[in-house]
Amino acid sequence: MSLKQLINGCKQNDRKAQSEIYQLFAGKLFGLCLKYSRNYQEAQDNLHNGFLTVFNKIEQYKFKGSFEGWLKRIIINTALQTYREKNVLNLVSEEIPEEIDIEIDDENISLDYLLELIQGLPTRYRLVFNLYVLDGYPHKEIASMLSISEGTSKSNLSRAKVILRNKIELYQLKKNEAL
Amino acid sequence: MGDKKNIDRIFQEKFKDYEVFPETHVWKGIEQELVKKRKRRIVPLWLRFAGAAAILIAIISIGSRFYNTNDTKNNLPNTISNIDNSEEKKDSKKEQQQDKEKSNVLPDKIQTEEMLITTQQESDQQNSTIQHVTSKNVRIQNNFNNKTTNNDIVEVKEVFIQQKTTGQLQDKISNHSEIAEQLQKIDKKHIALTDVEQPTKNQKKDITKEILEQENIEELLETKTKKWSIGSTTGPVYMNSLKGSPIDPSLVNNSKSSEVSLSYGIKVNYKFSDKFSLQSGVQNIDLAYATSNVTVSVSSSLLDQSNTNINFNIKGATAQVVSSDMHQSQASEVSQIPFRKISPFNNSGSLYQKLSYVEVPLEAKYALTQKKLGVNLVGGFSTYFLHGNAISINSSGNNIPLGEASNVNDLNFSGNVGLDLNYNISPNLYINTSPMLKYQLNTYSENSGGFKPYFFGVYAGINYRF
Repeated sequence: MSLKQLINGCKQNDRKAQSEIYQLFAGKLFGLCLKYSRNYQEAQDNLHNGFLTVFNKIEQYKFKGSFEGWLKRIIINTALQTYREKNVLNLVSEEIPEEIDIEIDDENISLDYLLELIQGLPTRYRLVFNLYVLDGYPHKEIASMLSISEGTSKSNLSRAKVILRNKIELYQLKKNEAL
Repeated sequence: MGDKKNIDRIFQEKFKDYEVFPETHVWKGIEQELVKKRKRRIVPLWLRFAGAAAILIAIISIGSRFYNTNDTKNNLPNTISNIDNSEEKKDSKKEQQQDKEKSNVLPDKIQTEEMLITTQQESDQQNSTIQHVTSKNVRIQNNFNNKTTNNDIVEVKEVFIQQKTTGQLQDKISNHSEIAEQLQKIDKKHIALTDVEQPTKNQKKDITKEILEQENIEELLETKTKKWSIGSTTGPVYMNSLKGSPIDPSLVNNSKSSEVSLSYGIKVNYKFSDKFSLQSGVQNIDLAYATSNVTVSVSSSLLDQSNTNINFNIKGATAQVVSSDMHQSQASEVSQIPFRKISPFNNSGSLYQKLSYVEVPLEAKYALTQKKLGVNLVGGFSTYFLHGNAISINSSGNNIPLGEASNVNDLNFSGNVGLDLNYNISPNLYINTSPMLKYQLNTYSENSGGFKPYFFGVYAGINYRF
């Protein structure tokens, strides 16, 4: 069955089509969830809620633009929703350090460790970092998605990067010492 | 040492094709929710085809019930998809119940002992003592209830008692002594007591007792999950109108009277939650309404025009109806009543209109109390399908059929409000009575002199829960 047929099947609420769509995209989308969540459990919750939204709103997908992109947007929105619900208090916009280029050594860094680092970031830093660096959203859009100012978005990004660099450097240092 | 790289680039490259397949239970969770969602979506559909669907479901449910009586779980179509869940719940409830019993028995030692003694002394005696035991048992159960926080268990236990009271007498005796034994087992003192009185039987009974207990609990939980009920509904219905005439505007001022007639049918009830349920069904209803002091005549010219046999009901003919009530009407007050069929006639007397409908109600029920006697508020609407329509004139004791009224809609609706009182005879059976007021919305298609009938009925029935 083609993707289009599967999508149409989902629109008819066909359980088999839904299952196949899930099988096709669960891997990618769960990866996405892992990056946007604090931990494995939260990622699972987001994937669960995200897929439910997908199947409930699939009639709104009119085959314009890529289906995967549509799915990703829903998953990201689900993750942001979790953030909005939990984050009642918003920080006042912070001082912006200039955008800095941070360079590090890319040796000896495992993917798992990088994921751990991302998940360890404060929630908003994590979201901004993901949205900007990994999923290519501009600051302006991020600002409106998270209901923060563009400045805050930039500042959060820089802080996130500093945290990441420090941790990576520490990690590499320890590793080299161990050798 | 590797090359220095921009941190963005490192992350981007590493996560470029990042895929992690989630654990299988995630999909199961999603699938379960999807099943639930679909079930929710059935409701509006059900509403749309209100009566028809309800009847169909009722028939299927009953059919499948008789079809495989052994497999009780499958009898409830609405629970099929949730079997996993409910079984888990059952298990946990069993555990909870056992825990509760353990923790609650100890403070109630005195009462337990009392009951224990009475049970053992009296269980071999006459039937009259059984009730005594039962009431004691109830008291003890109530005692549990006060301390039990879990409402489900409370209900289950209440049902448990009810089942007992309706069961066979012999079963009662054995069951009650079983309960006593249970309590004994938990309390060491009691074990000592039974050891004296029943030195050999205990061990044997331990196993059967536990099996019986488990079966009982399972049964109880099933009663609790019974969502459907089906029953009869019968009652006198009285039709009246605030104003107007059902026949013709010219007869508005004639004196009119209504007859009490009977409505009967079947009713299906589906319980959504503890508080809300939806009921539907099919009922037959006959309405009779009399307009007195009327003269009806069919002129010969009309009959000539029709070119047909003049003996009986001539289609499309019209009759002249004149009010002969001298207080209000003059000779000029002549109108043509749109009869569909009429036989040649010229007489005066009372006009009887009789309408028969198949009524399909769809009503929501909200429970105010849910004790043994339940009080519910009922609101909803009914759809009526006309199947009998006759007008006759009653003159000096003779009833002569005239034909059919053509201003009556084949399909009409009413808004319903009322109360529903029900009384549980057993977990499966309850009787109910329900006074209802039904206000007709569009009984008459044409000018009917502002006749807006309502009827008041007191329905009663016996219902079976499954």
